[in-house]
Amino acid sequence: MDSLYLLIPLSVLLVLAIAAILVWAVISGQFDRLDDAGARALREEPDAPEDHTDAASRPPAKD
Amino acid sequence: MRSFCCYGCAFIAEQLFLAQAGARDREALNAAITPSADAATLLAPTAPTAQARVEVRGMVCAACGLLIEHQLRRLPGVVQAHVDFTAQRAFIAYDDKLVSRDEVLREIRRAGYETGAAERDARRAARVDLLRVLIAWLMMMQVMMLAVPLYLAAPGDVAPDIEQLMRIASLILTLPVVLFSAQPLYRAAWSQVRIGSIGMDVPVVLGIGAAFVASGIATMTARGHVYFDSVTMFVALVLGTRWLLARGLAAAREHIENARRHSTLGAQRLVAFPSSLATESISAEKLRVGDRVLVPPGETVPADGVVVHGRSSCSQAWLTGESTPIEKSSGAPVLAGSVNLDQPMVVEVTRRGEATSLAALQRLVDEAGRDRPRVVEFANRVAVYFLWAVLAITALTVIGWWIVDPAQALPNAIAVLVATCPCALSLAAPAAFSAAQSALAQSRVLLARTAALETLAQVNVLACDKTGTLTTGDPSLLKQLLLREGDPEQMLAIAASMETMSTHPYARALLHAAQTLAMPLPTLTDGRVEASAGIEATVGRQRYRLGKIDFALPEKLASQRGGVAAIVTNEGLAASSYIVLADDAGAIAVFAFGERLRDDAPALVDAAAARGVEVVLLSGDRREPVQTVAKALGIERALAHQTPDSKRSWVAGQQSAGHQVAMLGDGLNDAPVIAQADVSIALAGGSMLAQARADFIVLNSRLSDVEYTLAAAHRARRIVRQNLAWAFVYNVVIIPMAAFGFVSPAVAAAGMAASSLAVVANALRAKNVRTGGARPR
Repeated sequence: MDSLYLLIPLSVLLVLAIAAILVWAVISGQFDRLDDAGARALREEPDAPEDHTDAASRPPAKD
Repeated sequence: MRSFCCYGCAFIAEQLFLAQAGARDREALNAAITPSADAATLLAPTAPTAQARVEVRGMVCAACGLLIEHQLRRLPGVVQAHVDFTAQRAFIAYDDKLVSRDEVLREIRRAGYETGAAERDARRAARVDLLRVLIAWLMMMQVMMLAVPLYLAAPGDVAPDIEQLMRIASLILTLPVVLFSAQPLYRAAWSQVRIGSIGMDVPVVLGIGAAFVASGIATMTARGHVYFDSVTMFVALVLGTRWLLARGLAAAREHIENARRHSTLGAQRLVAFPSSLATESISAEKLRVGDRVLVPPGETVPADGVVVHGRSSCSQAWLTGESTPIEKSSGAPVLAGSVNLDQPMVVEVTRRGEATSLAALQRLVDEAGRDRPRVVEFANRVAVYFLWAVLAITALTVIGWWIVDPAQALPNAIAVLVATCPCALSLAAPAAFSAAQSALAQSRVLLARTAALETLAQVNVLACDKTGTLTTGDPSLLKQLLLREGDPEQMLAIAASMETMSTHPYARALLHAAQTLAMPLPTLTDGRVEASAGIEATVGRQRYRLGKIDFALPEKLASQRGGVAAIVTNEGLAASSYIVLADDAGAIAVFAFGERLRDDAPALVDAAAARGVEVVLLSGDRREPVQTVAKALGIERALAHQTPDSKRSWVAGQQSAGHQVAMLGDGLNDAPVIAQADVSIALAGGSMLAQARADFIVLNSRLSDVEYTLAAAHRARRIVRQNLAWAFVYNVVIIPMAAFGFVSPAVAAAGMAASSLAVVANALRAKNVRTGGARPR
């Protein structure tokens, strides 16, 4: 039983470490596009944030 | 004073109240919204020099959008403000010399909403939301690991100091959940308290708070029971469910928004018309009155106008529901949104932008949308009573035990708070809806508003459009009549061969019908197309004419016209349109066209009837085709010659008679009705998605998917009811037991956990939707 005095705190530390990795993974965008990760190599442009500001300056869409 | 679901509704109610009643309401509202004439002249040079598209968060219903528009239009320099509730976006056109983008954004925030100034913020917010869910689940699993041994151990098995160590470990692991993951719950609860409209979040936060504080005290004093496992599991389940729901909604919105962004109506303006046919491509918004535009076959007319050159036929099905193409020649007016069918035309613009019939339809939609403030969700209304009941019982418990045994007062009060399960209540609806939503997404049905699922299950009238909804929009060959001895297949082959020269819908229908023929199409020579009349060509050595009766039977054969027309009438084909194939000797065959019912239409009508939903046909088309379709499907009520506005008032009439009406259409020409109806479904695949506005959008344009949607809504409702019933029974049993001190802490925690799990497990069944017929894969 004595080993528990060490193992329980260790397990807590381990979980906190996993949580830290999770934080890094999510915040750095690892989970942003899960649906089309396979198509990433095909996209030419880098995943730049789309501009939202200048709808006026965009050329009129044409089919 | 009643409470409102959001600032927007409160605002609308206030405006309506101020304006008293009746027709003055809208005038008053408009007067309040549009700047007065003086202001307009003062600001005369105001022309929009900049536009902004802003993501707005925190809108609860369409009324919020109106509130924001109202606020924005009061700002000097803002020329146009339009808020799209479905897309959660605001479109603002403003003069950047008078007002800055930041001021505009600040105005939206002042109205009580959040703006996502840039996509980066939204992306960051999405990441944080995901993180909250993941952290909650990770910690839940770990806390469970520590909790389960204690549940399983016999008394005395675990040394007291080990147990204390496990409690402290659980506390540490629960802290991130309570401090970080649950933040959105606190925020929601606080804003509900602040505006005095209690929702589900308040009891939820109260439950979390009570359990956590009680467990914290128990850990500090090393006495009593800890509920960390319940807290983490509850937060994980609530957040997980809400995250799934939100992600589904966001995906649907993005889909619609992308389609809209890529489908600005274009126009081909003729630069110097009579002398040259050179065109430039511009956006339809930039057209001016007097401009001449070229409309090639298959394209949409970009603005209301008059045909100045060319002769063609146009389909106005999207606007009026009329299925038969209408002839347009020089001088004929054409409406924006109608589709040119066979020959290029030159159209002179007479009205543009705001004034066009398409825009007028759009305005009708907006008005109808505003007339429909949503009631607060059922669960939220229950939450208020639930909250007060729990608080009252807790207070009674404290008072009662204070008299009997003061030492038991606090533990029992906490037991009441913890054992009471707001989880079942708060998870009941969202979990089932999110499961149903994901089932719908798999069959490519977009859900734009979660509450729509709930409403759809209550609907008892399903109003359907005809053209393009119950029928395939394009005409198809219904019947071929031979007027002379001959091989029908050969005649069809000749006609189809001639029609390869045309792009008219009838030509497509003939070619489609000819695909089933065994023989190859004969080659033809010396073909000639006369616009909007017919085709003349030589096949073999015979000269054939195919087209309208007057064209196929020219002057020298005019005596036959009456006879052919009589035969056609005798066949009962008066309602359908037909073309005639003739040679030099006279008429050979008649091809009759009409709309064909969709294959899955009868199944939908039957399935609706089986669920107690009456299908009503509302069509802009003429009486005969409407009656034909109604009879074929066994629909009792079918209304012909309907305009968008008369459809809307019919729906409003049904609603005031106490019915809940769902509208099924293509999402565009029925737009005003769609907004008026309690809930709406649009069959809109491909390019039509861009214009479609509805609560459900069926991307595959299949009626079987509509049936599926209906089934999903009913199933979700049944499951929500089961969940609510379970939550009710559980609480009725556990609360008195907890109040009287019969519930040991372990039982309270286990009960709370089991209740949440049962509700979620039951909700997941909402995914397995079964319809009457076999599901097409």
